Amino acid sequence: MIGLFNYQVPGQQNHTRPTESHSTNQQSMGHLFGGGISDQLSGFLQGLLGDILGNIGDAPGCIFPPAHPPEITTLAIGEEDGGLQPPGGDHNLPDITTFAIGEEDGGLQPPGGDHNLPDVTTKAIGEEDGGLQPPDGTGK
Amino acid sequence: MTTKHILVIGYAQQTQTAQQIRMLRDFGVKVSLLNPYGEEGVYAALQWQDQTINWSGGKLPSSSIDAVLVCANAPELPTQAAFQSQADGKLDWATWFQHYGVQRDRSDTLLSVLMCYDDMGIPCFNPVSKSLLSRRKPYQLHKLRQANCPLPATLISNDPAAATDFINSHGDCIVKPAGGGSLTLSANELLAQDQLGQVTAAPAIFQQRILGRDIRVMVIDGEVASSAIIQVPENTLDFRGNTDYQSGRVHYEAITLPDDIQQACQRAAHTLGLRVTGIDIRVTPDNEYIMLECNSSPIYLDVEYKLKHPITQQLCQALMDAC
Repeated sequence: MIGLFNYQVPGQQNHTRPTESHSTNQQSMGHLFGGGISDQLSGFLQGLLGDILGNIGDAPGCIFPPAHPPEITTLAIGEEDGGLQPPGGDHNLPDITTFAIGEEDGGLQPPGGDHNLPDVTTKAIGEEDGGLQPPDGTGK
Repeated sequence: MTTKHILVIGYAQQTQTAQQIRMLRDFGVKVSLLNPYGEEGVYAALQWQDQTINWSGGKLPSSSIDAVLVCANAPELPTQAAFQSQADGKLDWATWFQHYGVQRDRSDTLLSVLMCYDDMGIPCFNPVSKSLLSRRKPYQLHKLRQANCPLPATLISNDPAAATDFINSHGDCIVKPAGGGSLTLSANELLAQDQLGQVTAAPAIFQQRILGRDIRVMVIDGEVASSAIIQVPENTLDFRGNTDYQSGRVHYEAITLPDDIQQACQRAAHTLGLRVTGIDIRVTPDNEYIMLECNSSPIYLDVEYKLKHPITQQLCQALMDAC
């Protein structure tokens, strides 16, 4: 890991630190939905979802009708602030596995490029808001 | 009676958003849904000229919108789709930056539109000018402290020595990322395992660990709409990591908050400018209530479903009342 934390990656469920001793956190969702009660729960929730979704996609006011309903498997997961679902992850998320984790503030940010800002070689070129001089990483 | 028109920014496939839309329609509200990411790379047509903002070929002028419910924002950075657009699933730096530029244009424009709606007096739940600030957790803590909300002792630092001193001073401590996105860790374990040096990579939030039960409070337009104990084992480091929680098997227990804590929640929502927020609290065995953080885009449907707390109804009612 780069820093202290193992940030959750879209589409992956194991966001715990490998060395963590509170190991209850470390099961993947794949384990959780292996069968039995979980499958029954999943089936029930699929039905519930169908009821909830209704005819949203057919409504005239819908600018972007949903392509297809997601595969909702549990009620507790969504994306909240700084949540465990990163921004943009919801648009095609069969990964929304429960109702309680969703999007909250500050989900994960994919790789940033600002870690190696360029030297400013003239007074006229630099980085302003949305500037034309992106960091090039060359250090020149 | 004029039909009210509410614009929802979010994903129809997100279950909670779907429930909100359905209830708004049950209330007789006209709902337009704007997917902030687009569908298959296709985005709603926008025309913004002077004071007129129009979506979708003029079908959605700002003058027709009575309120906005913001369930999701446009991603600020390229998503997995950008990588999947490449045959090998990899992006080089230059290509990544092009994707970043495009995504930034989308995100900045949508945020600008939403901030203009707010300026125009259109009620927004939540105003993005507020939610974007509240998502900065160190700043949020600063605001909550200013509002005299009960908080754990806190250090924000990327200095291992300062973190060590803090841990040694406060005993049991946790650490969580300044921007979120990962589970809370035991700071003491990291110290014991000699891993605290990795904090130099980025500042983190170190806090005195509050032992007790987790509570989620929903505040809607200044009123406490729901408060529930999350029944994970007491002293769980981060309830989001609990397997029962993740699998949807977790139970909740309704709780009535003491008046002063309800007022602290109301102050928190007010100081952050959030018309809807989900507040995380820990209550100790001595009945001391400590606020951990406020979420500007809270997920609550599991609580609503299991405790029959009519949160969506209250949210929709608040939206309609604000119109």
